Amino acid sequence: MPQPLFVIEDLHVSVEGKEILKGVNLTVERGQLHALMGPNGSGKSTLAHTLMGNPHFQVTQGRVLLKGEDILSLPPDERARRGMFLAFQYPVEIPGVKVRHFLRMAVKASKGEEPSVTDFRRQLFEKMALLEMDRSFSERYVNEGFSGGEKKRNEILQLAMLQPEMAVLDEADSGLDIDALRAVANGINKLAGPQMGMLLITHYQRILNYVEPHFVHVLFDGRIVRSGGMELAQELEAKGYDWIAGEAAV
Amino acid sequence: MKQTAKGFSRQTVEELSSLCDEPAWLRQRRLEAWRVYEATPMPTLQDEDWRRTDISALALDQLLPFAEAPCAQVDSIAHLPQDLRPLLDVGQPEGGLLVQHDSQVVHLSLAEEAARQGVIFTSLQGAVREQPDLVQRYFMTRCLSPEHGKFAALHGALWSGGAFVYVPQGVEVALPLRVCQWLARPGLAVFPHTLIVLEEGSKLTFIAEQFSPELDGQALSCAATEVYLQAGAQLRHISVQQLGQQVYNLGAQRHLLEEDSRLDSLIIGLGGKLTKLFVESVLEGAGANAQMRGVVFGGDDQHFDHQTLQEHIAPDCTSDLLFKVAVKDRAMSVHLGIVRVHRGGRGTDAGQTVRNLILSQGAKAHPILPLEIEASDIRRCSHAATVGQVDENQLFYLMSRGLSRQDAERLIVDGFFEPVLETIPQLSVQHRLRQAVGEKLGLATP
Ligand SMILES: Nc1ncnc2c1ncn2[C@@H]1O[C@H](COP(=O)(O)OP(=O)(O)OP(=O)(O)O)[C@@H](O)[C@H]1O
Ligand SMILES: [Mg+2]
Repeated sequence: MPQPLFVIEDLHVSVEGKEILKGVNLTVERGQLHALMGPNGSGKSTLAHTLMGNPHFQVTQGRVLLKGEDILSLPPDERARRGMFLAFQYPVEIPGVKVRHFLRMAVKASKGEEPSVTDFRRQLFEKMALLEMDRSFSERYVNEGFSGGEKKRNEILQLAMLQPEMAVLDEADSGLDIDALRAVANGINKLAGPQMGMLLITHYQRILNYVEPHFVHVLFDGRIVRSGGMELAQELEAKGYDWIAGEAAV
Repeated sequence: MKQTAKGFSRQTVEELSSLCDEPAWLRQRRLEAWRVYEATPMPTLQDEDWRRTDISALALDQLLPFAEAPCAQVDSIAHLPQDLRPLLDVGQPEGGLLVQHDSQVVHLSLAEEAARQGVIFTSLQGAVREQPDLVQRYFMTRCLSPEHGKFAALHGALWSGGAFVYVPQGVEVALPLRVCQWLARPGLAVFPHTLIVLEEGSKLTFIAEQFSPELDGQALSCAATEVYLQAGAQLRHISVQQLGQQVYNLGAQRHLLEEDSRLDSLIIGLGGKLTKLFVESVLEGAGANAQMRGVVFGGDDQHFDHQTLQEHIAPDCTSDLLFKVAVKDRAMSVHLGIVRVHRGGRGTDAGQTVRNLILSQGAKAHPILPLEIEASDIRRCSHAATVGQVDENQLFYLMSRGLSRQDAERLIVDGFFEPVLETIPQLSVQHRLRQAVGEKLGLATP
């Protein structure tokens, strides 16, 4: 059997001495889209940041395997070069750095070679069109003064330009109006392919009307307490997270 | 080659005056400045203005106060020394260019259109001969007098080289005038003086750049710039300092703003061993507006001390200062930023912000921003200083896109300066500065 693309094994994570993740297990194969749902504060972003290597979060136990290799000891840039990607729930402003320049640096860093100017431009404009972004956007400073929706689109634009193997999208849908949501979902659908694994973190079932996951998981209090298919998302939508809370307490 | 003896004395001053074949009034001014110099004690760490800047290692008596340029004045920049030419941006559209090599002006050009408009752009020494009345009236009188301080006085006694710019009433100079000063001789002290007068309603962009190669031995740049902005005049003034790391840079720049005039000044400090630079805007006409910005990037053991003054004398004036400072290695930056509002400065709107980015553990920044307010009914007077390291969230974000920590840091520092650099009207200057910043970043030691 071929090796799974991405495996999280019994992952425990603490922040400032407080345990947030209490043993998370999850396997994502190439071509699969997994949705991870959960209430506020359940640890979704903690998981996302830990997978990407944010030094603020301490792994106290467990492994994370990308193409069979444990990546937990690697710095974020090395993880990115090996094919990891994180779309941030709260994208960070980089004042004075233009989107175009930043993307060029990122493409160069992750691919290991400088893209030709014309190829890069062509690709950039193509992907921007896919996400219904105006070209002038590439001349703006990264995330500075962006609306919530623009920030999210910019995250997906980066996903499109970097074409990672394993993408974690942390609430790519929150705060989007219906048009932006459709553009982002459309982008995700176009980018997801047989080679890529995706973990789509979301609060709401809303985006799942546009992007159909193969699996749905529910994170609650630092553990995945339920896994299933689309029907689980619908059940959650109907009954709310209290339902999970009630079950978990039993 | 003509030169004076080492060290400074009254005799040096007289010698220099004779060497330049000056009129009596100018000789008298030099001697008067020398008197002030002698009467003023050498600044020490005990002086408020010099508390964090130690110049005791500067061996003034070992310096040569004047040396003729190694080449004669040339009409074509093609005849200037090889190392100098790349800095002159050959082929860029320019309203005028003045090049100084060591103590002397070696090249001067002015676009025909500007000349036709009556713009005067010449060496200050040339102006002494051709425009004696103007020079006599404006040179180190009301704007920057020798009493300004020890080194202003020394400058008044020993100045040589520099430029004179005069823009007549209502004239808008389309393209920037540029002055390029090249200090190439170790052991030399240069004293270039820039005098700019903008008559009522005139408009100018002026770019001054100081360079030197890495020198094998101490040198001193003691430059002074005085600017008169008459009513409604507008000046964009860009000063770039890329001296070698053996050069002491003790300078002053002072702008007098009459009513409704507007100044946009930008100070860029990258080079030098030690810099103490006074940057002063005096708002003496109602409704004047001074925007003062700065970019400072120190590395190795460089020391920068910028002392800025926003002096509000007249009512309803605006001034805003923004300095962006980055320091790495063991570099240190001091910023003493004073906002002074006189009793007559009602309706003053003044702000100052100094942002410091610390890139290495051994680097330091000291922003000190006192407000001295005598007026009672001002509109705004605010000051803010920040000192911090590169933001960890920004680093993580960039690294998550594959950038190494070092590249991420470089990008953040580039971005810190970029919004200021990209406002520079001459693209070639922008480009050179980005390169200089990049080179400095490249040499980072953790
Ligand atoms: N940097 C931090 N410092 C301290 N506590 C933190 C930090 N980051 C997260 N936490 C805590 O960890 C817990 C999980 O937070 P996390 O952001 O992972 O939740 P989430 O599921 O992403 O929530 P949301 O749906 O609101 O985005 C919360 O209790 C939060 O307060
Ligand atoms: Mg979250």
